[in-house]
Amino acid sequence: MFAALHGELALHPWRGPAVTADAYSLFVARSSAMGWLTPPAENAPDGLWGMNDAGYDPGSGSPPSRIAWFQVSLTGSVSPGRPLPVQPFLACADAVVARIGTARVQAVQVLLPVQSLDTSATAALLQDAGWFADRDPRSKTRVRVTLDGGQQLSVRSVAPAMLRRIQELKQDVFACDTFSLTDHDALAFEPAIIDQLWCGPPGHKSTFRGTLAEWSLTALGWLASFLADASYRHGVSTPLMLTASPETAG
Amino acid sequence: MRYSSYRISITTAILGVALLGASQGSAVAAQTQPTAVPTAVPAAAPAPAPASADGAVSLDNTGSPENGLTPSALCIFYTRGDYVHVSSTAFEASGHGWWINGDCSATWAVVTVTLQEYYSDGSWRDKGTGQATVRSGGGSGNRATGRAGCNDATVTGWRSVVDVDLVGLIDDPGKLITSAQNISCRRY
Repeated sequence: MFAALHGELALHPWRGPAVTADAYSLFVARSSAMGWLTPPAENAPDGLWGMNDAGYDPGSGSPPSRIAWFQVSLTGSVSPGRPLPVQPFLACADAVVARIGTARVQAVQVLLPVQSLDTSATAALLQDAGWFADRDPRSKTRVRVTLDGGQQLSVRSVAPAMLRRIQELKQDVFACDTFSLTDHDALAFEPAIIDQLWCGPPGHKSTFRGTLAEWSLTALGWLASFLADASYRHGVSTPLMLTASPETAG
Repeated sequence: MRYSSYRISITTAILGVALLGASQGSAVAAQTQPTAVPTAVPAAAPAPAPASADGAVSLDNTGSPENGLTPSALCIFYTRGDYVHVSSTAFEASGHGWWINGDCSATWAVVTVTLQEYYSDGSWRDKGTGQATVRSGGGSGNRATGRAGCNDATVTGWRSVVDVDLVGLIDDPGKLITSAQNISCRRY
């Protein structure tokens, strides 16, 4: 998995030039502490991912500029009935960025390894949705979410069925009302990774619009897992690049 | 108490190696320079991935002052690495290595990361090395990176060998050999 956070980051004032920790070491430390990190050794205790790389580079790229990025390898297969671990992945990224500064995330890009799914995780996702119950109603945010299959066409052909399925399920984390095959997030045309890591270059896209329970990396993690599951259920078996942003962010 | 016992057992092992005259270089040669087979080609690593020659994975290491090797002078440090992966920004295999100081007096260590590619004859062959003299912790500027460019995206087995040499101290020859990863990168 790969995630890039875009927006603004004000570094904590105590983080001077002599800091010893960076996004990489903080991500390793946090995911190790939470039991999510699988050490790179035979017979190591199972976590969710193995560390690849990370960096923070506020101000890079065209607006909204990239704040930080994280890359991991899923270790082993996703447990039957469990979604892609995007929620803990983004939770870890969120914790790391908060350690570095105060962030205002305006967009996220996540590479979803849908090909790693062997079973549907709808039941688990509906249970996990309980976290967002009884929230402040004012936290609802209109979002635009683009799924890009790169050179694989399938995400376009399954978009109508995905919309129907999302609307049928009894969840109120993401109320999806439309999809488009032509009107996409501009950031989706600039993936942060090389083509060889997925089915790049960018190509076949579907963009879903709706209301998310809250604009947070926790909710975006759930949404990303949810859309990966819906894609899998409708036959997508290749990586998808997800780009999400609030509609008001332009 | 368990910590002390562990030190003693490690000491015995180190002394044994020292008395036999084994060097780090010879140990590496045994693991990374198998008999060449002309027809061998890069390949995906079978599952479960082949381990090192002796089946061991070294994670914990010991060091001692250069002026003597006594059990009371031994210290502990840890060798760390990550999973060899395809870089997000360049079409190359990449892997990092660093060290964590337990109670050694050393401030710096030379960390060497060697990337190895799996071949169809069962051997692992060196394909790229990176080295850096770094402080403990693995944070900003304190990692070494091994890199090897990919010729194509055929799925192939890769792993890394991470060696940490404490500056100013003698340390044991243990190296971290990371678990094999089949990734979309082949180098001929």
